Amino acid sequence: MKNNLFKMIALFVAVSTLLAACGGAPAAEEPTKITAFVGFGAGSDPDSMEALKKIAQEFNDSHKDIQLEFTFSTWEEHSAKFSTLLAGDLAPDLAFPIGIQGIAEFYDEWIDVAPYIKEDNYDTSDFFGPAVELLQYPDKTIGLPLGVYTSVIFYNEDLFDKAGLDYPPSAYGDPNWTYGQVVELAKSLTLDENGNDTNSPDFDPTKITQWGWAGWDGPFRTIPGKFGGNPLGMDAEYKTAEMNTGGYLEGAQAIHDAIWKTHVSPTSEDLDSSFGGADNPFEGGLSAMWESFSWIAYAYPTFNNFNWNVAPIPAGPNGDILSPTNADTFAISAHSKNPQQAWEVAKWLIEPEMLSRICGILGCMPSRKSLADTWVKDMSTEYPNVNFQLFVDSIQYMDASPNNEEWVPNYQKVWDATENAADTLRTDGNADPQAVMDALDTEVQGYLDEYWASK
Amino acid sequence: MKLENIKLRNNSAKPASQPMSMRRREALWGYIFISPWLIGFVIFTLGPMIASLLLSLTNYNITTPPVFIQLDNYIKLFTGDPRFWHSLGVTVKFALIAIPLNLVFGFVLALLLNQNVPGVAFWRTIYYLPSVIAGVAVAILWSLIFNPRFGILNWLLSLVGIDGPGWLASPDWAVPALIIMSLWSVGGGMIIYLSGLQSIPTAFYEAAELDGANALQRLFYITIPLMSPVIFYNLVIGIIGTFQYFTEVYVITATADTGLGGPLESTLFYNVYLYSNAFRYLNMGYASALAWVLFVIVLVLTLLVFRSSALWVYYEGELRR
Repeated sequence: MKNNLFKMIALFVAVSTLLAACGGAPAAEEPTKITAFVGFGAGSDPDSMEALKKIAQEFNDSHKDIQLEFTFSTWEEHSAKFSTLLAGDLAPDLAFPIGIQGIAEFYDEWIDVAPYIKEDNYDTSDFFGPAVELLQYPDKTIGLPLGVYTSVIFYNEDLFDKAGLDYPPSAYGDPNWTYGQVVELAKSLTLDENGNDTNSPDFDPTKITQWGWAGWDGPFRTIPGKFGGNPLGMDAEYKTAEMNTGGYLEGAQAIHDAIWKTHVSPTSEDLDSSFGGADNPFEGGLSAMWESFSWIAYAYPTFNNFNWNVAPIPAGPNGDILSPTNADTFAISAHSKNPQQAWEVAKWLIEPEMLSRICGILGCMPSRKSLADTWVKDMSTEYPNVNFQLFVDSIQYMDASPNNEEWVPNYQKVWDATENAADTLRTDGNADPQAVMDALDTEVQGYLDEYWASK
Repeated sequence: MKLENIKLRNNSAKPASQPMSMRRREALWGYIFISPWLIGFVIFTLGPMIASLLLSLTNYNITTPPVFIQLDNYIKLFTGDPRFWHSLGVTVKFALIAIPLNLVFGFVLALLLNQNVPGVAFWRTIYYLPSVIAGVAVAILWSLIFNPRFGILNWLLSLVGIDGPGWLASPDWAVPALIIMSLWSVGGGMIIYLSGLQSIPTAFYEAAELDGANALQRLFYITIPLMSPVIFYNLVIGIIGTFQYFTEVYVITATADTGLGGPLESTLFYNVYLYSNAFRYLNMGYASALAWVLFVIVLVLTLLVFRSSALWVYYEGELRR
């Protein structure tokens, strides 16, 4: 009995081994699976996920040798999920879409696609030049641009009408359109609960119900460039922090003054308050002007309870005009076992027709010149009164290099420290901007030293 | 012949193929039955614990192999990282207020709901219900309640002429807001107290009443001593849970540009800082060191509470020296 049992087990093991040996090798015609990670930016809301899955299906139907599959994560969890996949040797082949911040978070993880571009003699002339430049780093090219999100000034026409003020200019080239002018306008557009504006002696800054200028929507790094500084706040070798002088200090002073001196901008606490379901005072109809990115235009169907339009980015004190820009691209993982196939997928995704569709899903402005007019026309159909051409015109002023989200050593620590410093300025009226930036400079220098010591 | 000798002889004569004794068989089956748990423990708890202990001695950023750096992570943690001390301070401050508050509120609630009044089952359900709602939902709900401009709490305060604070948006009020939020799940402790209260024999109270003890005396001389094992249990669970406080802060601050633990790092709890190091700064070695220090802190605190229990926890029927 025992012998029989032993024989049966031995037979089972032998047959299993034989079958495994026969079936282990992939059949020659088996397609290569390419996984694309969605989570480094837009694309993980339910509608986008569904639309991207359909696109993957279309790719799979038209390609028998490569099969595309999207894997999704929310923005909040992308870092934890992606790093876990890396640690488990399950790295996705592609990150798509991925913004500049996502690239920076895992900078060493992405391969140089320049050899692939060269090998295919890929024509990049249809892309906006600065958008291509945005993805070219000293040591490698990360991808080709999918979409860009330039910044403009959004303004609430109803609040301007109510105050009897002329609207801001509608095109670049007006020499009087400066941040100084923005603050002057904002003084008349900031009201307390009794309807007094900041020019009135009865104005009560503790009871503000409407702000003239909601400030800059982007991270603090979007601001120093407007004052002639380097957005990254350090020297070209990334070894010395330069955050307590020049554009960094002037930017810090501008934030602090707008909130605590002229009272035209909301405090951090005000910004964190939900405004009737909106994410910020401007969307809630409680601020007359705001600098934000083109992607916010897609959010307005939900908050369309007032008339709005866009104005050019004003000039800084030195005459510099800088439109802080976000961008989406693709990146191929250094751990991908099939980078060539990943490149083929990426190329297919940024072909003009597909790029236009994907930008429709993600809310980006297509980075191809040939699609710009169609995009302006489509958006203008939805919002007839809004000057969408201005988003395209802002491309020439974008912060391509260095970009406000670009890599620096110890990226997230430097990022958090910088944002915390800006938050201090927005929270504490008694804070001295020079002292805040001195502390930031010291902290960031520590992170730079730590990084270089580990190399 | 002595009995032992007979046994010895029998043992020596035992054939090799003799079936296992009943005791051995039972032991074997016992191990077989607990093996799923044992295997799970070894693979999913002990294994990762050992791995994290080893990783805590390395510089490991996931994308490149770990580099052995001896005790550098621990040395940096204690001597060169003010955020470690800050996060520990935030957690201890929270624990010192939230744990006693939860113990007292849970106990008082249980006392009230232990009264023989009409509809008591309904009230018990009402007070217990919030504790079964997941932490994520609670965090979202309370972030709306605490909204400085449109939240119901500041609206209620305004009715009595109080200009409410910024709560979760204010560095000064964020932790007090979280302490208030923690009371939401007081029903979990309450139900344990309630079961303890109902196991106290009524004869004790009847005897005390006959001796002329008033309600307060009955509470302090009968109820609290007999409930001390339950209080002890809730205290230990409270300490462990508080030092692992994470979900609520994560949900509330995860979307902020400033990183987790805002505003101005006022809610940078220990576990939030640990998570940031692991998944935001990709510093797995350092995060592992933080995890082991937390483990030791919780272990020491729990042992201290266990040690102190001899002084204040009363077990019925226990023999005391």
